[in-house]
Amino acid sequence: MAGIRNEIRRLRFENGEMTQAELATRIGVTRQTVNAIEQNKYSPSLEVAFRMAVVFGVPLERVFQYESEGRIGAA
Amino acid sequence: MTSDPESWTEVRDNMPFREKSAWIQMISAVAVWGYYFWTVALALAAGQSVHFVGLFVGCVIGLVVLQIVLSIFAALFALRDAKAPSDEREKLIALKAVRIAFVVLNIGIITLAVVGPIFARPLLPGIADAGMIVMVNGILLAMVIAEVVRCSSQIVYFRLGG
Repeated sequence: MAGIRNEIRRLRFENGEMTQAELATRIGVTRQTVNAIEQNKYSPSLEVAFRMAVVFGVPLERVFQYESEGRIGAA
Repeated sequence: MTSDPESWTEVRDNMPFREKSAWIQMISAVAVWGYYFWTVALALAAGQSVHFVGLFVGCVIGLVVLQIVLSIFAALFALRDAKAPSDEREKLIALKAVRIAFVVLNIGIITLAVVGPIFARPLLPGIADAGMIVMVNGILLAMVIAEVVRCSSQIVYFRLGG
């Protein structure tokens, strides 16, 4: 089944155990929105996705991956 | 520092401020307009005249005061959330909820336009302006139901994540 997955939780952990609230403040959304994105309940806009990648200092495809028919590819 | 991100847990708060706002709007609307329609129904059933305008204005003022007080109370516990502008997910949720409420409002108004004139006289026998009373209060009821649907839709979308 197609869908977008993410590594936000791991990236937050690797960035000094950044809290959802800290990440939310830095990308300009609420903590609850970060939580919804992290749990794959909400797909963010490209702008928010890129902001996350900038905060973590990694390419976008390290933050989000697109899963299609059992095959995982970069976003 | 934890060694495994999978076992890493954060202390999670509470519901977002805008979900609290939706609860406040829904509960206050049900309470105030419930009182209004209950008062109107009792008066009409007893064959008494009702000062609709006075009751309506009183309810509107009561609703505004109630919502302001409850919103201030809710904001005191989440000052940062309350001050922050809506983000993209909250705006999307608000739009989705308005779309659903708009459909409900349309159905209510159309139903009222068709059914109202037919049932006004049998519902309120012997009352002058029965058609007008049913029409005005029916429109108000449709608006209240649409508002409750808007708020409850917002709450459901917040719970689902967006």
